[in-house]
Amino acid sequence: MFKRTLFLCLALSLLLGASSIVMAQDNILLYGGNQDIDNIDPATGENYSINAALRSLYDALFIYRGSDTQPHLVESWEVNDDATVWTFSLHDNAVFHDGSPVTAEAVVYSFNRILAISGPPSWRWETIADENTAQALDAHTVQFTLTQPYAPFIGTLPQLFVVNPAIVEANLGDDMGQTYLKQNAAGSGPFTQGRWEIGNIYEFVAVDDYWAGWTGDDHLDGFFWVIQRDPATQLNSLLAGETHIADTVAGSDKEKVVDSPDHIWEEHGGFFTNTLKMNNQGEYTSDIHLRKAVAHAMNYEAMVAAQDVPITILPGPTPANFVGYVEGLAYPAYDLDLAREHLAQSPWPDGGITLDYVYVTEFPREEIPGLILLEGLAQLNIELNMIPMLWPDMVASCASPETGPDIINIYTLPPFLDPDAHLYNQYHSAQWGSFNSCSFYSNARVDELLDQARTIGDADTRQAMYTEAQELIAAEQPSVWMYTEDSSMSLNTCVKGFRYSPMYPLTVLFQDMWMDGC
Amino acid sequence: MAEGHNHPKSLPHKEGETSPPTISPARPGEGRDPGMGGAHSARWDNLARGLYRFRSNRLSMLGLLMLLFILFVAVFAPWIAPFPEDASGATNVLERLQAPSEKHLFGTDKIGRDIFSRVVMGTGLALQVGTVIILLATTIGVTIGAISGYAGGWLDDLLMRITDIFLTVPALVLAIAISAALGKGIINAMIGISLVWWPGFARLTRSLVLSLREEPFVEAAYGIGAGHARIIFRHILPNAVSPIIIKMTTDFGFAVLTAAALGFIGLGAQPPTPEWGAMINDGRRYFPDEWWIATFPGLAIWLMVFSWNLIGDGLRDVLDPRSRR
Amino acid sequence: MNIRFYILRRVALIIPTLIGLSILTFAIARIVPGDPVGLAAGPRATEEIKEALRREFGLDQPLPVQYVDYISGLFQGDWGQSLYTRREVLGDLRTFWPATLELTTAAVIIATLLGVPAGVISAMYRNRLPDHVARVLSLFFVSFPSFWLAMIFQTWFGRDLGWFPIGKRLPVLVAPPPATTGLFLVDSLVQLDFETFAVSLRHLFIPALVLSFGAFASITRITRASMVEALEKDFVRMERAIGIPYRVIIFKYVLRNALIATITVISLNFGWLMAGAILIETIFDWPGLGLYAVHASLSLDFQPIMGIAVLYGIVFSVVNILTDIVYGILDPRIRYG
Repeated sequence: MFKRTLFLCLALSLLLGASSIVMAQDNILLYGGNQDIDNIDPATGENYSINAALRSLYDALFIYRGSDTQPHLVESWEVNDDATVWTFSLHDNAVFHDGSPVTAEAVVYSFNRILAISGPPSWRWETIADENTAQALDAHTVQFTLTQPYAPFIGTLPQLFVVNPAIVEANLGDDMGQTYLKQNAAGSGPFTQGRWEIGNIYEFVAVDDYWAGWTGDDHLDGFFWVIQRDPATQLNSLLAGETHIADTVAGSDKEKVVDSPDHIWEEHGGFFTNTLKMNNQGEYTSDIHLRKAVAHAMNYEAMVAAQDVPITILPGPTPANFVGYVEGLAYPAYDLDLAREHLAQSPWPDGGITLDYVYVTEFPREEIPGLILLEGLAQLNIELNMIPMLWPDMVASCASPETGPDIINIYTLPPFLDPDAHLYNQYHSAQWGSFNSCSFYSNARVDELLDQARTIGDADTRQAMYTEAQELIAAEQPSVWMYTEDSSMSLNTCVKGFRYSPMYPLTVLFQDMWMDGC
Repeated sequence: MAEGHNHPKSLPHKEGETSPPTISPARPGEGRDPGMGGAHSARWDNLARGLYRFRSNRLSMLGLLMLLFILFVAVFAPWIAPFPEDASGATNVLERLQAPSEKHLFGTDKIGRDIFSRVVMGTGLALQVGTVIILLATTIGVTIGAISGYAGGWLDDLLMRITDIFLTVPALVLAIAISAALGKGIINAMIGISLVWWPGFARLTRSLVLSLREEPFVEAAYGIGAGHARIIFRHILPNAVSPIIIKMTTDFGFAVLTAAALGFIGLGAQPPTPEWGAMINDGRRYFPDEWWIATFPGLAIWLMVFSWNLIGDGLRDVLDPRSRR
Repeated sequence: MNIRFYILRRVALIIPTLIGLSILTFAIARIVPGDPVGLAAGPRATEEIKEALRREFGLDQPLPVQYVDYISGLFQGDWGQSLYTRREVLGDLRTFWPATLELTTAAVIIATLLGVPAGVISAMYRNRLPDHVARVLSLFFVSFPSFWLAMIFQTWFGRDLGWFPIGKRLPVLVAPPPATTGLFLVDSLVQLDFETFAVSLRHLFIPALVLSFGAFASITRITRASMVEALEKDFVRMERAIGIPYRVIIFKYVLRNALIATITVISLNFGWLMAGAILIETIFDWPGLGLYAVHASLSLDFQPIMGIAVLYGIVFSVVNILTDIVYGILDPRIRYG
């Protein structure tokens, strides 16, 4: 008898258990994130989910809001004529979470720590700064003396998150505090860490008296980053009201979000650019005709139809909505006859060769273009060997022209709004060895133009230089220009204050958001 | 789960063996009657009787029929599949994500490939994968087991310690580690799985050899001066064949399952290979709204595994009659 | 021999096996063709940074030295550091292990609750319809790819019917009970927090059910076989002859005898299901060792993989010893020797 009762209780609790649990709480936002936040150290972490956390836990000198770069820790600034000496005065009321003031020293400390560790975020400054660059003039004035002129410097500063030196020093270890900061924040941002369930759920709690104040009509009491690795799960939870935002809903599921009265589908063109880098020094792809043949063998329309995210085909080296875009550059369309013509002028007029196609393993968005190109090249009697790789291995293969794959699928996001951000790292030969320049493109005139443009303040002169450079690049087809990805975000209508930022296409600025009527 | 069940460790405590295994140090299964020892002529009698019993077991016959069907599909795949080129790289994005219809019996996937064609074309691959894994594992396992059981002494101890090491960790865990280390790809996945699959065969063979070694006809062969190789290959192993075959059959399905699991995780076959596990992984993103992408490869795996399990179950009844009365 | 000595000796015997296992996993980890250091260093790292990292992780040492470092670390509780997350492996295992343990245990319990009765029925109705049905059903379910079935169940019961949650161990806003064991069911009961208990049970049920199918067949089969054998024993015939009801015989005498063999299979299943959990966890976002293992193996992060293999080895060995002890309790005829 007892057993039967126990069994009944179990069954009942199974079926009814959750109904009594409150699903949502006022002003606590539940964010369904596709990616883990496995690192919150500003000196080593950089991807969309990490950035979402960094922008919540830390403050930077500047902040991206929408398409604007706004001063944040900075109150006012000056720059000398050749864009080498930058002086910033900081707000004097900014405080870290432990109550100590955010000083110029802390900025210098953070900047030097990033340079010294030389992790992923540091590349912005590596070529223009050294350990003497940042100097604290007084408690609230910091000066950067760059090693070379760099007009777009401010565009890099939203990624300069300021750490609390006292906390880092107390947890220094033997790796400059990297182990500690991977899991623990030492910032001054609008949120602090709450429940931190690694690989599962992260809670962020709003700082009541945030020094910078809140920009929206209201603000969140906190938010949860809920890792949901499966897009279908993300969608289901969103529609069921278990989460308020889903960041990776498949394009094929757009209708379901749009049709739901309680949800909206935010879709924006972005600068998240996909290109197939062809190794310009490689055995086959050093031949310009072969490169053009490949570019013409890519069925762009099919790719638009097949990609599960909305995409816009790239009209050349620069996206049409980005600064420095040049109209009317000839860029190839899918045309097998033209492709055959180009192939006929190459050393392999009848094909019969095999090209490697390297892409990120388990990433359908890079696999699909490969499969489409595979089909097109098969018509030219060229075989495409699909090689999935881990991202770090791909990066390693880009170290030198000898190891560079024939074709490699690379996503790039220009880090700030300037033609330099897009062109220099992809097409300047000094950049060989980084994944952005895995095409190993080399043109002395292009190098010269890109170098010169960096030092010039006048916009028109600069644009003329960038135009010439892009014309040269377009003619040589170092890469197959694929598309920019429109980013989408699915939100519950009760979430307010969402603002799309092309610089952080997937990174929500939680501090500007609040909830109303959830 | 199912993949876990394939673990070769099932063998020492052969299912159906009812006497509680002796507690250490004697190893379980040791000294067990292999089910059909005895002289050659008796072996053939047993076989004939066994075949009759197998035929009269309707479930096993069903399994055999299913397997024949699978073999038929594998052999004639290019003629059965309406779009065989879809298995080797053709795409048709205009017809992507279409529900099952007359033209596409199982629907189409994210780039418009015909799922039916890919499932059909993948049948041969699945059979190959299972065959290679089982043959490799059997070869390694039987060799090691036979040496171990026949030689005895320190060699036996050493080989069995090594076998134990592999048996300490579930096969899937080691298979994942080995395939990850070797690099992604179906060949490496097969190697990885075979490398963790042999210990079961080694344990089984060893216990069979141990008991057969004492049989009068083996002693007799010794007496007339037969060499070790001759004794092992002519007198011992032929009498150990049936338990090994049972294990090969029952393990076949689970080997296919394990390979599919690696494909599902992303460590197995790479695109555009029509490997069923990888196809399920592909379809996972589209499930449940485009349910057909993942569903049909899953059913194909199930059919394959189920048929082998039915056959294995029947064979066990026939060749090891103690297990089912 | 006394049981305490027996246990001690069994425990001592684990050690050489585990050392062998550590050599094996170490060997696997060192044949990696990719560049694990590139992973840790990040995309912009220079050769010098990578060199420094190699030094930091001891990867520049000769292999035997690396191995000795590794094995001595294992014994001192330093299981190495993940190249990728920089977290301590042992700490990670502690974090993720309870989730997997809870899932596996629940699955084994379900498989036993389903499998033993099915085996008993099979034996009682030997070669009749219920026997055939139980046999086909068990083979039927064990033949499914678990990850596929998990997907289907998740959709049916979670999304379409809404009976069960879609994934994870608890709703986001429900804080886990204070960790004593890390098993939410146990911890919530300790706190007398029945609400959390109920919710976590709901989250556990479907993943555990799917996982249990893998063990169902072998438990049914072994129960049936040992029941059949026991039923043919003389004492059963005798008791029937003196008029003890069949049901009583089955449950009082036969099942007890049959359970001994069944327990071996159940304990073996524990290890297999722990491996099977790897696949189930990826579907249900279950934050356990499986998710951890898959992530690590896809990113060639071998320190965690070695840790997981060693942990599985320890658990497997311990379960085996426990099984043997339970054995002895159930069957007094067995002497530890």
